[in-house]
Amino acid sequence: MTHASNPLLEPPRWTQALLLHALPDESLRDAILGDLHEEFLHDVADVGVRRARVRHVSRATGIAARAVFDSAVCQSWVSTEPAAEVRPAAVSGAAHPAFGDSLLVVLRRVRAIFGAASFSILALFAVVVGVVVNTMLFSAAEPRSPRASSAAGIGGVALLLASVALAAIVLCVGPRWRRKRLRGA
Amino acid sequence: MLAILQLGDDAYAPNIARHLDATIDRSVSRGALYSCLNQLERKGLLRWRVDEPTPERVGHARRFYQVSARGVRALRIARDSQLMLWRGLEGILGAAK
Repeated sequence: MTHASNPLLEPPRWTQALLLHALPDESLRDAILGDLHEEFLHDVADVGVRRARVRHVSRATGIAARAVFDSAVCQSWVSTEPAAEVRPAAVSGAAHPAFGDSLLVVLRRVRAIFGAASFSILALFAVVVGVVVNTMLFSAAEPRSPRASSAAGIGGVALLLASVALAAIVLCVGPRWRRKRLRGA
Repeated sequence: MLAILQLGDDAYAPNIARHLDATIDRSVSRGALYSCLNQLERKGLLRWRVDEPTPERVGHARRFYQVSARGVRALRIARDSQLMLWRGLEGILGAAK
């Protein structure tokens, strides 16, 4: 009888959900989940299902607590690159692997920029610059010349709108991407 | 790191924990073990590779650790330092088992 045929021979699922949230690194999380499952099956054979579940919960909560603590203190629990990949490579939809890889790197870097706090500050700075330039354009334009005034006004408003849109994108989308990335989604 | 060297190609986290338990009779919490492995890895003292997922692990890969060249150098330095400190203490502590 395999463990898949009997739900009692599976570890509690909430521990898996807990580790999904506690461990940001997908590769490390995958290895830890596998280790825990393997140890659970060994414990079931050694000490029975009930004690195996207790041990599993103890291990999973211990790992989650340590990972959260370490991440808060020293930003650890993020893997380096593997020494050698034995696992077969996933099938990629990209026609050219090198191009696909570099595109992925670019996307990751763009996401990292959007998620960074410095980018939010830059966006706020852009809003301030937009407001200032807009004010300057309106003040520099001759109030008695309606054509110059309207051209300067349109330019200023467009600049202001662009700044606001940029700030909105960063403030709304950037942190969400960052949260997803941290969850390993 | 010594346990990883002793385990050779079979050094993955549960095995490392079992090995420590069997050889020095010390139970290591999994949180401490993974945290330690992660820190050593970040310092460049350990390297890792993944193996094929097995049905026993419900599709999750197994991560094997190995001591890097830098890690071996660090172990040599640590051993030499310790041997220097242990020297001349046999009269007090007795001979090693």
